[in-house]
Amino acid sequence: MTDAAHPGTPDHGYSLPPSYLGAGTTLRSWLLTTDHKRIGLLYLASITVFFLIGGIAAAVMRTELMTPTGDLVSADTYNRLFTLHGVIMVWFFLIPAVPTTLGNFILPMAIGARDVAFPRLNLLSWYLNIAGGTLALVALLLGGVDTGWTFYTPYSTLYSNSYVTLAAAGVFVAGFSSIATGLNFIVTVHTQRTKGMTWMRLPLFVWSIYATSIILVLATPALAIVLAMIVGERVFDLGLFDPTRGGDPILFQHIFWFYSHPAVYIMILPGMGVVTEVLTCFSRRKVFGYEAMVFAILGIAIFGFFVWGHHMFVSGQSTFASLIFSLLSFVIAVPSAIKVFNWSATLYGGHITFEASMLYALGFVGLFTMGGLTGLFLASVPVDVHVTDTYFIVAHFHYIMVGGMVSAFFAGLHFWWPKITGRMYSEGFARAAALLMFVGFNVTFFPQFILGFMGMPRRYWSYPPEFQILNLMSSFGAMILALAYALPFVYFALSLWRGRMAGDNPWRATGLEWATASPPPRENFAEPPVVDSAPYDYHPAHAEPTEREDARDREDQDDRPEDPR
Amino acid sequence: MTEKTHPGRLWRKAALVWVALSLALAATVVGAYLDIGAWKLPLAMAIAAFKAALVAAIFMELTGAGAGTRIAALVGLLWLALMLSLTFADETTRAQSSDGFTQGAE
Amino acid sequence: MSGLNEPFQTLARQRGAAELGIWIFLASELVFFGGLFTGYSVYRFLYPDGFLAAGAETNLIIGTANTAILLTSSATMAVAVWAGREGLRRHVLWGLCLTSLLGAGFMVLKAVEYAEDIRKSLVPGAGFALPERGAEIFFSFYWIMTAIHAVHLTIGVAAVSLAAWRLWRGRVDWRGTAFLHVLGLYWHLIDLIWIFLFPLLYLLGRGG
Repeated sequence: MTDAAHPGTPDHGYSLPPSYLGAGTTLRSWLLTTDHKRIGLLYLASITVFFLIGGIAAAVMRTELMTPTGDLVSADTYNRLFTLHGVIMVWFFLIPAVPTTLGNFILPMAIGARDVAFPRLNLLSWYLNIAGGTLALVALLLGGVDTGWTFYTPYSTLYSNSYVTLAAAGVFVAGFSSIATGLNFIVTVHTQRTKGMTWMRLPLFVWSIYATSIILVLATPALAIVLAMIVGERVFDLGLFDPTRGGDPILFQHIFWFYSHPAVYIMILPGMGVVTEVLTCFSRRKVFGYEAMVFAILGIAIFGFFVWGHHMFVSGQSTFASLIFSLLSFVIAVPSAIKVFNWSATLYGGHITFEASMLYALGFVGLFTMGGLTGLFLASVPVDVHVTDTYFIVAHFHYIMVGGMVSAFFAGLHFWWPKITGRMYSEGFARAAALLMFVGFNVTFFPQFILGFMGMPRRYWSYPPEFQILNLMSSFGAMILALAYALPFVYFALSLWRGRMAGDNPWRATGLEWATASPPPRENFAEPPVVDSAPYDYHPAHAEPTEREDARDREDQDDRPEDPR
Repeated sequence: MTEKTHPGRLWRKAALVWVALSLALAATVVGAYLDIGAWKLPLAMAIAAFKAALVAAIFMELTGAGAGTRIAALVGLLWLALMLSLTFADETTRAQSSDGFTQGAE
Repeated sequence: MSGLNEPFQTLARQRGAAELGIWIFLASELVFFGGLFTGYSVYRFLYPDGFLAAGAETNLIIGTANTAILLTSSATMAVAVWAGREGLRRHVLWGLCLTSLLGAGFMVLKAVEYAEDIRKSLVPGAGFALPERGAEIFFSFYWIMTAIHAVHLTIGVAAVSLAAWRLWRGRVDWRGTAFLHVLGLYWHLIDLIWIFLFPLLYLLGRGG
């Protein structure tokens, strides 16, 4: 064992309780579990399935777009494909991805808790998520929805003949899951912190999940009510947004984006938290400006609610409102920039190594920066009017969602995989996958910025022939990306089967989750840990990195116990 | 909290608040029939806010609650206000676009 | 039965967590109804006359009676919670039973009112009775707001009745836990929402 150096680490000299994986192997013991770690894995399984479904839809679309004419699928099918892709990816992959998997698994351990505050509610929220996902999938299998993931009125209420009501019901149910999870995490952080774990000693991953939970709780109900209103209009013929009866379809967009803009931060904030953990660990540096990072996280969570109107510059919203929302949108860039600068300053002078999770995290920083900067273009009304509903928008939000959030998810998955499974994966394969993902992503989405600026509109299944070269590039990039996503399945499976035992703390990271066994016991800690120092206790800003110590530690790592099998 | 409260005191306390709430209800109905024009809505909303404050403070025990709880309640209200105010920033200014702006669209 | 659940070490801390949790839920409920209040306000701003004309068609007598009923139920619910803290089991049961009966009474009156609304063709859609622009929107909001409130109330009545029954059978840890307090807070929220729905839906277009 190599981790005895950390304060609060229980001595593992005596016999440990069995790991959470050994606490029962029947299907029942998994489906009725209240262990936050097992629930995290249940979520990991379900979001992987949803990711595959959403990914297949994307693959079909990119194949269709290889030629200018619409020859593979009909226009109507194409509409249903991008709706499926959006609905599944947004609500059943991106929103739950980091909070419910890594958040569920790591957050209680990172604050030294035995479990989340309401373990049964935690399990319920998984079932709600599955129920919502099933409803949405049934809607999509019966024939699909053609409104786009945004369900804009009056098309969704007056005209669409597709399964809008069922899909909306699915998203509505999944919303309860989001609220339950958010509520649970907030109360957990408030009440379950171990002795000495003060608010300003919380790892930034915990802060980011906490801030995300606040958004989940305050934004999701707006989505729920606006979907309920759509169902009310479709099923009961209420005149809530119907222009023929004096209704205002733009009002729908206001309430919808009151949720859906903050939802962007639901997706990206947890990623920012993961990346902070990884960057500090693999540069062996204390995070630069911890307090500024905390306030930036909270600032993003709060100001994220003030900018929704920038999705509506061309909707018919008043010029005055557009002006206000444009100004506020520029303001939100400030805390995001603080984070990027602080990550850079953290890396500066660090003892950087390029493990796979570090590659993903560095990729995140670059791609998020590009996504964020193009966001500034879009916050400016005149530029936005020019590129609205073009591939520029598509590229912009994929840089944030896929380049940022999915990279961060993989960074976290690789970082905590040894903790979750107790085994290492092939570092070489993992690094190759990380690089491939970065390359594939840029080849896919960078051409879309150019396409959008040239004027190619989104959501069309055919396009003028002069756009073909760039579209071919994009589709080719999507193939690379698909390969990069397939690789982890292979080496993670190999790791489960015959991976090297990881030991308690293979990365020599700080953080309480590393101060217990891998995989951890059901109770997480043999005895409640006590915290007496700030997080990221690597080396302080003025000190030299302790290279020789590092080297010695690494040799020690090779003396890990052999795989007993 | 006292060691052993007489049950009658609990019922009396609730009854007292109930009387205040009922008076407020009567006032708001009477107010709806007064000839005060545009002041009807502010009056009705003020009385509703008063009733809500009574329920929240005494029945829901918000005054004696922990800081986190009070912040949660406050944030709920603030977010409601945020949704209303920024939506109204649009809905009340639709007609005020400059002439050139609307002419171009027609 | 001590009522202490994993992962808590003390009842006091568990109570604090439950109270914080339910308040966070209530805050999210505020935003949920907030979407409806926002929509209502926008249209009232756009169609002041249609709203006045339509508002005068609601049944003020039933509306006022129902408001009084809900206010009373909040008082009985509060007594149940306070009595629970003192360990007065009989008074808790009385409080819960009265609360649940009052809630059921509200729903009966509401059903009567709905039937009358349907008779008067106040249901949005083809054949809607009022010609004024915006009146149909008022009634669209009337229906969806009262319906969603009624769903909450139905859940509330079911929860309070179930709680009373389980308490009577001795199957619930109500001593020292936040059980009754959490139930009460949910009930009071239903009341709070109605306190605002009442003037918005029933007091328009009355008098001069």
